[in-house]
Amino acid sequence: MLAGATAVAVGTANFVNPYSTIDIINGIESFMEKNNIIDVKELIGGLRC
Amino acid sequence: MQKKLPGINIEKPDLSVEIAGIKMNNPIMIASGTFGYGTEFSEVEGFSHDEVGAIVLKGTTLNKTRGNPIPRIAEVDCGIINSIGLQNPGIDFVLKNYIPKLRQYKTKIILNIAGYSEDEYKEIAKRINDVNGVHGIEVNISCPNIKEGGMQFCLDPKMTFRVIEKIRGETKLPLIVKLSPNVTDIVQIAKAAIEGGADALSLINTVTAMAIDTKTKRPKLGANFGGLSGPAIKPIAIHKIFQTYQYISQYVKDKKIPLIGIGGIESADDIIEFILAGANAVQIGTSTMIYKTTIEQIISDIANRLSELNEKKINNLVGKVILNT
Repeated sequence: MLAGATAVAVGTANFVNPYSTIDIINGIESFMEKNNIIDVKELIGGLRC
Repeated sequence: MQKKLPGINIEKPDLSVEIAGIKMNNPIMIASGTFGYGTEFSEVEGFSHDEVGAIVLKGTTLNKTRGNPIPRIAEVDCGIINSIGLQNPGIDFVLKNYIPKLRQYKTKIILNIAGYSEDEYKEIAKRINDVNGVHGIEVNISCPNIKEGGMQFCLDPKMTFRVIEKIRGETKLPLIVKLSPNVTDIVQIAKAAIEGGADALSLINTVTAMAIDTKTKRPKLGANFGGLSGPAIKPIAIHKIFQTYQYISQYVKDKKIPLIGIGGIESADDIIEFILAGANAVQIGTSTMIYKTTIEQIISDIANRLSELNEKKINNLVGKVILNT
């Protein structure tokens, strides 16, 4: 998302871990809490070169 | 002539290969940019230059180049992204200070050259002529890490043809052209390089890539993006070698163009995979930074694998992948 994506699709990881999408959603939530981000849209294109 | 292994009554497989007239003891070459100018590794305990078939030196430009801002390497899953930006002391310095020190080794020395214009490539090739100790030239027309030049030459078949033709006009040394995977159809570029006068092709260079630090929101590389190497790109490289080999064996009739496989190689099995896809030799780069195994070990593993396959000459395996119908 920092690079510019609005959403992502999880593919291969589902073969390895069927719960991967759920784990990833929980992971984003904790990343946002840790970094004081209220709206995930703040991340889109947020890269600083 | 084949040597017998001491105490064992089987013939030692023949690992020697020849690339555009460069005779090598085995098909393992060291990839450009992972080995400096060969002098640094002489200090690594247990490493011998003469174990490898050839060493490709760091990409060299006409003039001294400072390179890109640090950090220049970022570790990612199954590989690294680098953006060095062709830092090097310039061709005259290399020919004067490094090449003489490398003459003591039996291994073959290949100079990798890069330029920002056709004339620059031409001038470098001219200066290498008559220098004792350079056995071949590898032309980098595919560096992803410089703003002008490099990358553009490999993106367009016409530009590839023109730059290789110009270099060819200046040198009689074996000419290897290193191709980029960052193109729509690598075969078109291979064709242009062969028509321009390439004696051999090496592929692939790094795959353009980027990594971002989520804490700082900044790219992990000083130059923001770079080229991915390591095991992550091996299957990509295998496919490109296969495609190029198929093209050459079907359409290039009058001249045999050997291929050098590059991309994530770290074991004997990887090498045999590349050879089956169509490579005559390979280059090892990123894995020399990891040091999981030694070149000596890989060479003895290849010999064992050949015995298992009941094959006496490694050359017999080139392009021998059996396709599903």
